[in-house]
Amino acid sequence: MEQRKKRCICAYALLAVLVLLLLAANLTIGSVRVGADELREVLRTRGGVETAARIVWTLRLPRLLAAALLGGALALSGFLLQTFFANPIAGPFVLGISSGAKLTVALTLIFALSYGRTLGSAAMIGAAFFGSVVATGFVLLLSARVKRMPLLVVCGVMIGYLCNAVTEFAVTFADDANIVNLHNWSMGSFSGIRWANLRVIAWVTLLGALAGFLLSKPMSAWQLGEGYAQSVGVNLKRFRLELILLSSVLSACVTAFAGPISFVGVAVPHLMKSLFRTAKPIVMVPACFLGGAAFCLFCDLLARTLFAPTDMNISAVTAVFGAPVVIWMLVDRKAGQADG
Amino acid sequence: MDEIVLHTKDLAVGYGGKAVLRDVVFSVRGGELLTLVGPNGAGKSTILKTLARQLAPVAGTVYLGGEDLAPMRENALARRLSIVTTERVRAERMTCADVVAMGRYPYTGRLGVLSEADKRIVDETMALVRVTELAGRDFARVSDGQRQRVLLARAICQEPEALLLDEPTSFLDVRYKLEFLTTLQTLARQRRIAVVMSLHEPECAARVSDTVLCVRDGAVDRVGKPAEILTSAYIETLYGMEQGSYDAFFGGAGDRSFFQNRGCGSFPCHKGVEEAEFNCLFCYCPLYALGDRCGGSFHYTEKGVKSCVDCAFPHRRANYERLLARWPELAELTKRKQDGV
Repeated sequence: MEQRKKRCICAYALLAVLVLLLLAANLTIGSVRVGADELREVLRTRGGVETAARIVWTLRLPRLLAAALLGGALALSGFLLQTFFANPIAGPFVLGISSGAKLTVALTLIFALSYGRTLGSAAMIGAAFFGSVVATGFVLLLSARVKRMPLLVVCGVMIGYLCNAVTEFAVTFADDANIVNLHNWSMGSFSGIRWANLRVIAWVTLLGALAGFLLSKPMSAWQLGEGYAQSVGVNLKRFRLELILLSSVLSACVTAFAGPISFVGVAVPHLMKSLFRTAKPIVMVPACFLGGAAFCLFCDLLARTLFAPTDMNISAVTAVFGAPVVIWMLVDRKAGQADG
Repeated sequence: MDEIVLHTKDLAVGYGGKAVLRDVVFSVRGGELLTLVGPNGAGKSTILKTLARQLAPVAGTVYLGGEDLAPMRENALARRLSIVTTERVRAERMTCADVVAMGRYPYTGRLGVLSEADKRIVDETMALVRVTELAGRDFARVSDGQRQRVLLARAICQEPEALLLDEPTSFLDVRYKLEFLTTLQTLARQRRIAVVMSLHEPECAARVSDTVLCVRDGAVDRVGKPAEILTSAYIETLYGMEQGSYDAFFGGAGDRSFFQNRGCGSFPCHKGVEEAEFNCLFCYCPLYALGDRCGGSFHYTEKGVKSCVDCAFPHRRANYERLLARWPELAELTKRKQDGV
């Protein structure tokens, strides 16, 4: 027991240090390098007049904060879905939920733009939330019929393709001027985020994380199985609804602002489970949030700097680091089953 | 005599408003064991699910400590009633102690953090069910027998007045069956818990139960003391019934009965035993440990090791009853072994 506690503390400390280091790196590294002194000045004066300072304040800072918060939200949303479906490869991207959100956001954007209007943060999240709830509902309907988990994942992937196809279709008919924007967004990127967006992002993700933390008790009972959860006093109907809505809100928020981002939702929870050597929700909820933040900060740093000044799409980077983790996990699981 | 903990009135159980079984009427007192016996698909699990409030009764009422079960709050019910089901427990990266500790759920606060008192109860329960040495082991990697005991510990840890178990001994071989049921019986007596469970084998039911309830053809056939009800004649009808329902279940695949497991690869392991009387519950002899007193045929090898390759004693269905008669002796032996004497 003591040893476990120690491990937890060490792992949390490691994650915190990692997040802080990556925040600092993201702030200073880039096509314009910023020293420590200048940085202090920028943070004190909230921008200032120099170009470098303006870049840091208006572009870099909101971007890195968004990457951290949205990455955390994405990983947490993945963990919630994995717990719900008792399936380690469930996640908002795999189950087609991100693509559902992407579809509704794209449609809303095109619709709004054709009337010459722009969308506020709230409207974007609203549209994305609608899409992800509809997609989740569809997955749930399927899960009632398809009892086997691998099949459910395949269905989710199909839903994803379907939504993507419709999105592409809609984009084709959009005005030329909007296509570039839309295309960038639909590939996934943290680049377009401003301070006004960030305020909404912070509220949604941090409240979501808190809600996830408060759900950790019924989640731990659910991990044993439905019957056992019911027998120790979990109100199943309410718990299911809360969990699904929460994971939808979180992945909707990510999709609304950064587009669909792959593999974070699956890879990070698995990495965290291995790091902490437990799947206890009360430990995993904060761990996934921190881990997701670190993972996305790292990936965004690469996306920004590798081929600067060109931004790479974030999904490409997360896939490069996330996909091997998922493969390793699947192989590991198979091996575990063989000798278990 | 203890108070009645669990009783039913005009209970009909089933799915979607359609009754599978009607007139399920019984009562269990604290410290008593009631066992449901009957063929597969007769509705034993349906009764248990209704008692656990996982299914709403089609008609009638279940009473826990004299109170109607239906309007009870989740947490209040969880403090008074716990279950061991056939549901496969997922338990990802959980130690056995973690699984047992889940039984404290109804007593912990908003975040489910265990208090010192909770931890003490978990430790005590694990000692009681003799799984203390499994505490740090991964739940997914212990044997079936150990797993059932851990799940029993989890249910006991919930400090219930009533405990429901659905086929707790299926998938266990005879040695573990005996072990498990002995532990269960002792616990129920000590803690005055009312136990309702379903069992596959009437012989086992006869050993442990205070009351048996036989279900058959959509109705409760008999209720009463096992000695009065489970006469060999009645068990025979039960067997006949069981065989028939198995045929239906497997699409009339011949005379496959509960006792025959042809899928094991070594069936029949003893020539000269007729298929109809074959009992394939185990591939080893649970009486082996009794040495000279096992009652079968055996010889000692040159090295002085007991060998019973030619013994068909435990494989004959007719001997099952005699085998179980050795229960107290076996249980005593297992207990001594576990205590490390």
